[in-house]
Amino acid sequence: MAIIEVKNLVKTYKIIEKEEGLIGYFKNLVKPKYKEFTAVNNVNFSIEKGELVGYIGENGAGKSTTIKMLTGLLTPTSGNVIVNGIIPNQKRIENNKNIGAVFGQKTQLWWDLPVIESFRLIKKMYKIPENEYRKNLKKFTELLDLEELLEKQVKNLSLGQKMRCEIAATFLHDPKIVYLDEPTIGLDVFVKEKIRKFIKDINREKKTTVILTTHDLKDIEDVCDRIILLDKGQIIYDGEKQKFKDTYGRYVIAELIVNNIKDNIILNNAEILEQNDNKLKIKFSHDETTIVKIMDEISKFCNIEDIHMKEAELEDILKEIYKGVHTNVKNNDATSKNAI
Amino acid sequence: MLKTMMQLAKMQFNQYNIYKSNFYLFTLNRIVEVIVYIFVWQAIYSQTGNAGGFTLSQMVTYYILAIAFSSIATWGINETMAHSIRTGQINKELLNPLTYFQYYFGMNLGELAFAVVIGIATFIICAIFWELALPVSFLNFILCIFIIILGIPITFFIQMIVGTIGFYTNSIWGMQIFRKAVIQIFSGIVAPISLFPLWFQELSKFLPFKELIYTPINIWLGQVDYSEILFVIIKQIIWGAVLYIIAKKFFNHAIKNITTNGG
Amino acid sequence: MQKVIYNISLYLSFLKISLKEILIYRIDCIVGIFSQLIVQLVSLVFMFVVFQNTENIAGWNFQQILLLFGITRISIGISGYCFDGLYDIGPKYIKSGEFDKILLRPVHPLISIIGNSREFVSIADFILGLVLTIVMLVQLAIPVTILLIIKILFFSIVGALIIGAINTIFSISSFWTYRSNEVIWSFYRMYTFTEYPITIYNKFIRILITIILPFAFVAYYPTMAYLGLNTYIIYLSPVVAVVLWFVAVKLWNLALNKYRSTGN
Repeated sequence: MAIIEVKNLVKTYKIIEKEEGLIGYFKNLVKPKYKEFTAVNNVNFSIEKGELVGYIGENGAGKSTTIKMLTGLLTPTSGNVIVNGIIPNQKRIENNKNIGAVFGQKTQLWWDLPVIESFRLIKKMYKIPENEYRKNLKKFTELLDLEELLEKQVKNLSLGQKMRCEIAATFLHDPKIVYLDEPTIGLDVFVKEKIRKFIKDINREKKTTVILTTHDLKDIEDVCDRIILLDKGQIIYDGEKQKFKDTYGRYVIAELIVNNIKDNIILNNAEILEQNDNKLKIKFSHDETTIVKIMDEISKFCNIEDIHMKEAELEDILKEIYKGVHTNVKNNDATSKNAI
Repeated sequence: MLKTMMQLAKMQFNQYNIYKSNFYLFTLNRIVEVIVYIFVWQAIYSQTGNAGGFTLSQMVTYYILAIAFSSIATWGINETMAHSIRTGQINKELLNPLTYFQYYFGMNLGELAFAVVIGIATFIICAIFWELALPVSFLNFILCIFIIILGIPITFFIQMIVGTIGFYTNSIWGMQIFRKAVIQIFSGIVAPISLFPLWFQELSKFLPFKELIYTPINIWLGQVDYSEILFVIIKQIIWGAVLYIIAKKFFNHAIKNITTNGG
Repeated sequence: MQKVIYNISLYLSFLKISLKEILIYRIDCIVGIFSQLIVQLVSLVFMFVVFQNTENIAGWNFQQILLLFGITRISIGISGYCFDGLYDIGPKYIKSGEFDKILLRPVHPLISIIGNSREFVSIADFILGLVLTIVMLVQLAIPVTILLIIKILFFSIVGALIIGAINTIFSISSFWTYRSNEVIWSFYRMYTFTEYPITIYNKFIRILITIILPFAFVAYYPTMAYLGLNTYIIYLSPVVAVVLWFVAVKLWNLALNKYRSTGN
């Protein structure tokens, strides 16, 4: 059975329509006008134990709303959420015992106290057995390099140090599911990498299910096997990350250093992204042409000195999807889901 | 759960204790407060020799104990709670494997533990400068402490009610001052209840505040019948239950609001 | 002298900006003003209970005590509004590092900081004080002449300046602790001693509030003058204010230099 089961999930907010001016202010006080806004619109997915899922979408696509419903912080307008056999918003405390969560830079660590004190509280709160606690603490200290941080007051830590401690605190009680909402926001590359590696290591060892939402697609690229892509409250893709890239990222970007440009360069099966005196940036799809053919074509117009090619990255693909290049993504949703 | 709450209490206490200046300044504040009260009454006694049936030594004892107990009656976690609501920290706290009330009660105990330390320090320093009446018997001392402990859930639930207001307003600063003022006046910190007008005395008979300060001190001074103490205990238990229901209902209502309408 | 006037005008323009900012938080203000009044209610309840048991305290009757209370509140209101910024030095400016920015400005940091005062709720103190003062003057049958009004206004401002200077001195603690606001407040609170005739206190406290922290010059001696109990000591108040400010600024600069040289 799936560890997370989401069926026909809908969340509609009522928002008060603000009216301008003092009269509008009082009107609102007496009889506010409401407007409905659907943040999550008929979302379905199921996640198996041990999966690493990237939950992605633009700002306002409904990611955080979904996470809040999964954790039981929000009640769905309609539809079902079952996490580990429990309906989270009905048995919140029960559900809380099995999960861990990171919400951006909000920390559960106690500001004025040494980090270790907060860990001790977590140990008591989740009733972590002594040897288990020791084992985890030792391992996490190693993986996240916490050795020198544990005795420091939280307020004296840098953001990166704080987030490393926060991540450790979240995994300390061996949660079955961990929700990570923007865990790497504002961190430098080294800390980000450390955190990504940590998540992967723990997942491999403890089969922890991880749901990750982030704006840094490098996180997804590194950590996740599966992605769920959300747009305006609806899932537009759900499937393996690699398959997603294969389907929509079947193009290559090539940068060429050239000289002696004779004419206006016109290419049949490739798009010119950038061109100046001795540099040419093109994009082409494997389906339509090959690099050899293109080179051939280009050499009619100029001499090629050097070439540098880059596979499409998740970020490039998503940019295009948002721009509306792949209008067929939505239709593919059904097929890709069946494929899993 | 009890272990978790004790750990929470310990941490909240340490959070205060990290700043040694807290201890000195809070104690100084208590003493500044008590000085005005005591010197004003001393001036009155030197003129009239009596006030409301208290001797001067009893009156001095009354105020010193009132100030020593006052932090226990007025301190609490409503500001912490409102802050957690304001910053969204509450979302994390709601994911703890114990209820929000349990979590905050633990912290509240830590806060009160610090209040006790300040109270004892205030008492000891005052005992150097003024002669204090000791408790009339050991039993009375125990009963005095017991009545104060009975007040802890009551002030805690009031704290939670005020804190919950934080869901609806930007700041509970005003409400908090209001709560504190009500407790100061009705508990007898400002003046012994028996010196107030009759209607006020009648009113405070039914409110739970008198038992935070006035009644325990009078038990200390041996001015309360044991039969009345029994009545007081029952009254406090009923108030505790009523305030628990109100606080819980109010909090659940507010939380429902955010769980249906977002934070 | 010119420098002093320049600094004062700078300070006033700072104040105007902060007033505008405050109007944005109207609701918070109303709640704040209301609660400020409630706090005063606690003191008034105490006085009320006390006078149920006696006719006078050290020769002062209820109306006279209330007049003293009113005059005190006027000064507290003014100083609360004008000097509240001092409380922010430690917990706000130095903690966040904003203090370094203030040091870079072409004005004395104290002017920037005090000019950023925005404790609008102090208006509650001021109005309560004004109302009490007027009612008590009438009840005590003291003729309200123009001269008296000018006197009260002038000495209330002087009183506020005395409080401001004392708070400035204690704000020096900001250079050592972020929690300087609590240090200032703890000593500031001793002004409550002077809400009663100071003859009720022992020698130690009397010396404390007349010489060491001369809160008695804020409202107590002026009120004695208005009541005709002692008409001369009041004129010491401006002298006390000037001397205190001189000492406060000198000490503050000294501490600032030390802070700058040792860093944070």
